[in-house]
Amino acid sequence: MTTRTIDDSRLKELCAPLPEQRKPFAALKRILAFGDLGRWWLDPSMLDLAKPAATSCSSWLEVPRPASAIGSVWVLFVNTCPAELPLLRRAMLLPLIWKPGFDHSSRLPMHLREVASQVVAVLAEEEVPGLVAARWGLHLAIEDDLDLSAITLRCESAWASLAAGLIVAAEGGRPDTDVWATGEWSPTPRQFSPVDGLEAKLALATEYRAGKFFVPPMQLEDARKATSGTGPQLASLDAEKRTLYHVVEPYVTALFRWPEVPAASDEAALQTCIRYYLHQPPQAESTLRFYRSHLLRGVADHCRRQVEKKWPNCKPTHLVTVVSTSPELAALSAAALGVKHRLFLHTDDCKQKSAADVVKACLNDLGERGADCPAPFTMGPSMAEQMIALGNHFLQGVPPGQAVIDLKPGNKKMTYALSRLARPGDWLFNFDGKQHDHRRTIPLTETVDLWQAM
Amino acid sequence: MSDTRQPPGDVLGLAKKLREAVSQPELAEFDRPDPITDAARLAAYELAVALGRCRLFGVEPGTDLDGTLPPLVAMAAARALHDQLRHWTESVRQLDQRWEDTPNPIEADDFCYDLLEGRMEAMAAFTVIDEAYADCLDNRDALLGEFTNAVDGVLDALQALDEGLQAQKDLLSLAAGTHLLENWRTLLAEPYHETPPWWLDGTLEEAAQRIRRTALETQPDGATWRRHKTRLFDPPRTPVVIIWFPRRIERVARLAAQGTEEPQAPIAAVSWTAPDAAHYAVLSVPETADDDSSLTVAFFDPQDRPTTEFDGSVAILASVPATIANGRAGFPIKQLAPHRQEEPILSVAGRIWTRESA
Repeated sequence: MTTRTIDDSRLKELCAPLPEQRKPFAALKRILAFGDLGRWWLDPSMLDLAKPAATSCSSWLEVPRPASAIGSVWVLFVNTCPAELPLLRRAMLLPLIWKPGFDHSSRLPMHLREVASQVVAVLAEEEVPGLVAARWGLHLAIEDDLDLSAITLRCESAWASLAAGLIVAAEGGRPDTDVWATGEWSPTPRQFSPVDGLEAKLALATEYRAGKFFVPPMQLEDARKATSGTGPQLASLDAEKRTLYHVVEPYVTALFRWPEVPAASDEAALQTCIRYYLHQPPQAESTLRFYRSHLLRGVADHCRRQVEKKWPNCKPTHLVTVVSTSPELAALSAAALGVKHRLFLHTDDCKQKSAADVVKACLNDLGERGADCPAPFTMGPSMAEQMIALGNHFLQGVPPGQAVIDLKPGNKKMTYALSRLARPGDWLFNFDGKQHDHRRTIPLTETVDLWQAM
Repeated sequence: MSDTRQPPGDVLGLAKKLREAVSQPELAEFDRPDPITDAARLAAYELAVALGRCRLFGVEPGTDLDGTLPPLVAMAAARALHDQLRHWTESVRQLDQRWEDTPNPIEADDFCYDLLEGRMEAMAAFTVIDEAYADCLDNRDALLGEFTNAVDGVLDALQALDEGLQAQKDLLSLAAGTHLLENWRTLLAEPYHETPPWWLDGTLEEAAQRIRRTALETQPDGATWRRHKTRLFDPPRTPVVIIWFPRRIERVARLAAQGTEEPQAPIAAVSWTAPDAAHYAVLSVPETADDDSSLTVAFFDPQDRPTTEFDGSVAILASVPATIANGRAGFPIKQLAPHRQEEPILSVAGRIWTRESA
């Protein structure tokens, strides 16, 4: 395999003006000499010029798109000498990939390799999961034979892209190729510096139809002016944070592509979904929807395994639970316990009525079919009595020991009312788990507690 | 057992190898009530591989050697195959690193070829183990339960190996640059030839094509071209100094089966100047082409615009004629192929055009 070396002088040669005659043929020859990188870096007018001469493979002369494999990352460079390099784009994208278990490729531009090493070191020092013990190497994602090690490029602005790309890769995610960034960050002192060529980079992102572009906070206003409302949605990296992980976290959240629903036995895919979930805003509807579609099954199975192991004689047929503002909790207890007759107590407002429908839909999606009884009650002084009356009616004729009361959802008063409902021998259900933030439990850290009323 | 002649069509000498495998003294252990030793298990495995290869490559071993393995022998072979599969799966896991760490490229590539040979071996062994299992199932043999467990274990291990291999198909595609895959494919008997396993269905060639499409062509000046091309790609006495024909011709059926793929890059571009020294023609050469497709030459006027001025004229490229229409002439690959080693001389309406260096 031959090596296609592109250093500064070769770049100059390849990006010099075309001869006046036979431009389509000359453009095609130039692109072929440049190799695959030509499609990424040469001005698109060159590709258009060459198309009539490309009597085969003309579709190859389209501007390529970055890939979205695990580890994919792309960084932006600026043509700082347009007079010397007139055929080079004003801003160029270099597709790269983070590979686990590898050193950095020796064919990367030297300075980019240095930035990559610093990014890995800083994130490992910050104990970012997946980076502490593992080795990650940065490689070109095009042409195995391309050697850019001798090319001189300013690479500082690759900090943000490389860091966020590495975090997503280490968490098993795939990047959303519509989300771009540029950002130079310095570990000592921990701060941003403005990046060069922002306008050209934004123009490139607009050409690629990127949906979102993250910039250093101090350049957000410049970016707004440069795009004047067109092009990608602009967002800022987080200058207030002290760690690189947190600095790029808004970008990571947007970059992490919505994962596939994990198969039941695919532990790695489930972990990726958990990482994705924990990056998302806690109470956003899309986050809750993701929890139900991607995580609820795994969490329910996790809880069910605990029940089967620790309380093998717990075989309830009837469940009483409250539909709270987190309806997935009610669905979780029903699925974890495999109960077929379920009473869903909820306040009599429209919001909670539809929350009860969400619980039913969740159970249906999980294949946990059964008889569901929504039971509205009114908030107020008689709330506890109403809940107990509804519960007693539901449990009429059910032998003690076959009912389970779910104490997890709802407020304290509701929990108190439900605990009074339990007859001797009935089961009481609760679970606890490690908190990621104040509002949500880290999936698969749930510890179930079950006990029988005396 | 004394007939040592090679059956017709047995180019790999598989019948002889089967005869040797059947003659292993360790196999006698299966006729005794004692526990089976590792050596006997290995002998059973070698027998399964040898018989399986005869099945895969359509070699009739002769009535004295043919048959279904007894359940006890097949079960022992299954256990040995299971161990072997785990070993290969571990090797696949280390492939990246070993390949990177091995300075000698021939040795490094051998890691890939060994794994593919291992996968063929596993396919051969499993073919006859499965045959024996089906027999055992039909006869409700007393060993059925134990045999089922052994076969299940092999199936799981095969799946793990295949997943590992498929994750490494870029490295394994190095085999597409040798005759290994094509030879296996050619020799496979029905039904394996009709529905080849994944590593012979073009998957690896497709990966190789993607990786290599730009690797061999750097378009330097003519002198460098000649030097490099002679050294790297051509047999010593090949007179061709310019690439104008695809490196690889594919059967259409195979490409259709592969579905959509990355657009391929041209590997070269050739240009000719008309006798008026102003018009010119261009051919861009794909690395791979279907055997029923054409190579197209496009015609340009002096202002670099595609021109239809030559429409209706006959163009001849390397002795193959084509009528120019809509500013282009398409030369069927099948007709050009016999002339691929010749200089690409282009003539239009009986007048020869001058080739530019590419």
